[in-house]
Amino acid sequence: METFALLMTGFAVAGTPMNLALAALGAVVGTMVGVLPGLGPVNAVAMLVPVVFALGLPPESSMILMAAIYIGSEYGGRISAILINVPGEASAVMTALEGYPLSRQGLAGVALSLSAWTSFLGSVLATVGIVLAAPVLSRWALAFGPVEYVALMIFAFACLTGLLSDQPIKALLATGIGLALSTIGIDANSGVMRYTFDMPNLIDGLAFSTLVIGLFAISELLILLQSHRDGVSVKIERMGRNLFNFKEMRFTLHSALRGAGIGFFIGLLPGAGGTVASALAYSTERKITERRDPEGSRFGKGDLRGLATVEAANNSASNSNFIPMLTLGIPSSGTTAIMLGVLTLYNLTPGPMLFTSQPELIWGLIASLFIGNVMLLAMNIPLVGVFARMLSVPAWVLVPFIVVVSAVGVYSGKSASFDLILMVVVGAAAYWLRRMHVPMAPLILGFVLGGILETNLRRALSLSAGEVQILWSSSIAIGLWVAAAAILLLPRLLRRVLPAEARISED
Amino acid sequence: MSSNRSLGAMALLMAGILAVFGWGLVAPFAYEPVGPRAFPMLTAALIAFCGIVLLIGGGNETEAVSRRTMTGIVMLTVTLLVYAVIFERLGYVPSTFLMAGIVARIFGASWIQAAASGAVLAVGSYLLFDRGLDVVLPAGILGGLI
Repeated sequence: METFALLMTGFAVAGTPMNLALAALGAVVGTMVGVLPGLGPVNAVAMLVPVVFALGLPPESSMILMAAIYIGSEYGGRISAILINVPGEASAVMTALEGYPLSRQGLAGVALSLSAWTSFLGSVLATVGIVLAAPVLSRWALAFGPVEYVALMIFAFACLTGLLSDQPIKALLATGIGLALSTIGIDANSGVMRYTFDMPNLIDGLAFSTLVIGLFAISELLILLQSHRDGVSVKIERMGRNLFNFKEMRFTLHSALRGAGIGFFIGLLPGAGGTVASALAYSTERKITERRDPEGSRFGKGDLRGLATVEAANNSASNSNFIPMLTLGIPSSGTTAIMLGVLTLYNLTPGPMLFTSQPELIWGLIASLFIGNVMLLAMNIPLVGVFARMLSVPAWVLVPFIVVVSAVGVYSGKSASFDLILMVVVGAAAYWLRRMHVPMAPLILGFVLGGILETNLRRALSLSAGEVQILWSSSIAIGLWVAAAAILLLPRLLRRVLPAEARISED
Repeated sequence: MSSNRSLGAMALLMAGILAVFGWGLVAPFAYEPVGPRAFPMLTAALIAFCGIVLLIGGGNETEAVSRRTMTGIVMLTVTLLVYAVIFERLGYVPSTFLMAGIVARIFGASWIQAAASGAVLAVGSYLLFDRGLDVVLPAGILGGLI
C-alpha cells in the first residue's frame, strides 16, 4: 500500500502541466532521433544537457524529458529498421531481420503498428516490474558508506567493461580516459590545481555539457559524413494495411510476453541493455517456434512473432534498465550515463540513497514512464507516416542544425569561446577513438563517477588512516568485489549463448 | 601500423603526460593520508596498462577510408574549429551563416541550397535562442543592427 501511495505521489509530480508537456516533447524528439539512422537518443540527450540548465528545470523535470527521449527512440528505431532495413539504433538490428521482409511483402503498416503495440506492452510490463521491485531495493539501500561506494563504482566499471564490449581492454581504456578527465580542475580537498595548465577556464574542471556534446554530437557528425560519403539510398516500401487485426494480435501475444519477460531480466543486469535483450529474445523465440511449429515458421522471411518478441524485449529492457541505474548508479548505455551525469550536476549522488532522499524524483520518473509510453503508443500508430518522412530530410539540412544546437548549448553554459573550441577538439578526438572501436559509454561513466570514486576512496582511507584493507572490510563491499570479478568473466559465457549480432557495443 | 598499436601508443603517451604533470601535485599541508596525487597516478597506471596490452596484442586493421572522405572529415573539423574561433568575434549570425553554408556544401548541397539554408538557420536560430529563450548570443559585427 505504501508503494501505491508513493506511485500516486509520482503521478502528481509527473502530471503537472509542465512535466506532461516535457514528456510529450521528449516522446516526439525521441521518436524523431530514433528514426534517423546515425542519430540516437544519446546525441539528443547530450545536446539537451545545457538546455535543461538554461531553462532552469528542476531535476525531476530534466529526468522526465530525458527518459521520454530515451524510451521514444526505441519506438523510433523500429521505423527505419522496418521501412528501409537500416536500424535507426543498435537495439533495432534484430527488428530489421523480420520487419524488413514484412515490409517487402507490403505489410509495412501491419509490422509498424504491431511492433508499436508490442513495444508498448513490453515497456508497460517492465514499468510495472520497476514499481514492484522499487520498495525492496530502497530498503536494501541504507547501509552504504564510503567503503561500499568505492566497491560499487568498481563494480559499475566492471559491468560496462565486461558486458558491453567485445574488446574489454578498450572499454577499460575508455574508463581510464574518463577518470583522467574527471581529475582536471581544482582538487576540492586540498585546493591543488590539477592539469589546468594555467588556463582559468579549466579551474572548475571540464564542463560536463561541453564534454558530452563533443563526444556524442560532434563526433557523430564526422561519422555521419563518413557514412554519407559511402552513400545510403532511401527507398520506402508502400505501407499496405495500416493496423494489425485481432487475429495477428492473438497470434503474437505469447511471443510478446516472452520477449517482455526476457527483456525485463536482461535490463536488470547492470551493463546489459536493449541490444542484448532483443538478440536473446529473438534467438529464444526462433528456437521455440521451430520446435513447436516447424511448418509455420517464417523466421528470416518476415515472421510477426519474431518482430513482436524483439520489440517487446528491447523496450522492456530499456525500461527495466532504470533499476540498476537508479539504485546502483550503473547505466548500461551512453544515454543513461548522461542522465546520471545530469543528476550529479544537481548535486545528487546517483546510487542507493536516491530512493530515500529523492522519492519525488524517483517516483515522478517512474510515473512518467507510464505516461510517456501511453503518449508514444498514441502517437506512433497514427503518425507513423509523418515520422517516416523524417528519413527524407537531407543531411545538409540536418547537420548544420545539429551544429547550431550544440554550439548554442555549449556557449550558453559559460559564454566562452574556449568551451566551443574544446567541444570541437573533444569531438575530433572522440571520432578517432570511435574509429578505433573504443566505446564511449565507459568514458562518460568514468568522467561522471570519477569524482565520486575519488572522494569516497580518500574518505575511506582517511577513516582507516591509510590502511588499504578497509576497502574490503564489509560484507557488502566483499560481495561487490566478487560480483565485479564475476562480471568480467561472464561475457565469455554469454558469448556462447548469444548470436553474433548482439555483440556490437551499444551507445 | 595496426590500429590497436597506434591506440596503444597514444594511451602510453597519455599516461606519460598524466604522470609527468601529475607528479608535482602535492598539497602544501596534508590533512589526510591520501593526497591529490594518488588518484591521477592510479589512473595513469590504468591507462598505461591498457596501452601496453594494446601495443603487444596489435591487430584490428581499421577499414580504409577513401581520400575523398578523409578530405571531407578534415574540412568539416576545420570548419567547426574556425566557427568556434570566430563565434564571438564575428558574432553569432554571420559566423553561423558561414558555418552552415560550408557544412551544407560538405554534405552535398548546391550553392543556392547552402546559402538559403545557412541564412534561414542563422537568423531563425538567433531569433529563437536569443530573443525567444533568453540565451545571450554574441552580436559581433552586427552589434548595431540587431
